[in-house]
Amino acid sequence: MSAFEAMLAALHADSNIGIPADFRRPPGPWVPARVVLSRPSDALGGLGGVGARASSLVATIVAGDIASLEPRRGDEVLINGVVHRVEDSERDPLGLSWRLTLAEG
Amino acid sequence: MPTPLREAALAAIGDRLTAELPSIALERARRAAVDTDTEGLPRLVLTGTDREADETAEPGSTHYTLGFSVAGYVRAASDLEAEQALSVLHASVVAALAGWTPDVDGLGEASEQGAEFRLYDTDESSKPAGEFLARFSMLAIAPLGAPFMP
Repeated sequence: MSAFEAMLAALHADSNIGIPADFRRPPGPWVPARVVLSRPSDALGGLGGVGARASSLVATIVAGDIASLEPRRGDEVLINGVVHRVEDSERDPLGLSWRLTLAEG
Repeated sequence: MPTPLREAALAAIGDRLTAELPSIALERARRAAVDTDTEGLPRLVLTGTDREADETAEPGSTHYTLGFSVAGYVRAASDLEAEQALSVLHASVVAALAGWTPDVDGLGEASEQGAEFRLYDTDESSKPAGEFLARFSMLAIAPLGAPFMP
């Protein structure tokens, strides 16, 4: 295990940072994983009016937790009993984790 | 202090929107961005924009074209519903204003000039939400050099 893998595993395992979740590609079975959630909020470029402010929901998941699956739009993440659809996914340069942009209904 | 023509127009437009769309929150001259996560939506923001003056149309009078915009914000349960809600709200605003003439001396008909629409990207908003900016103009006539209500 590289130093980066160890660091990533430690961060996700830390109960102050990581939380339990489940990942799946419907209709496949849920796979347990741990994710680090963030909710960045920012002003959005408007159309010339007053503009808007909104927040996105991002989950970082360890690639090893979901084995051979490469997350893509339409996959699902179950967090605290709520299913979130994956809208976008981006792998880190080392291939150790995925940054998932999630939708909320 | 007499009421400026521009303020009279914007007040009349606000009253019209409130009367025609009573269930939609309306704000005038708001400066802060709308928080689409936490604020009650749908919501409209009415703002006065540019105005043009023509002193050649009629001796002793100035003919104004008063610009104003109506921004609309929606949030929905799905991307498609957000798109549809934007279309419905925009159409309702146009139906309320385009071709309408306020019952106020000196103010003429409101005309639709165009609109822009935007659904927020998923990396901007986890909730399906979006906005439009509809642009309108209104004719107004005042005595030369006196842009106030009679």
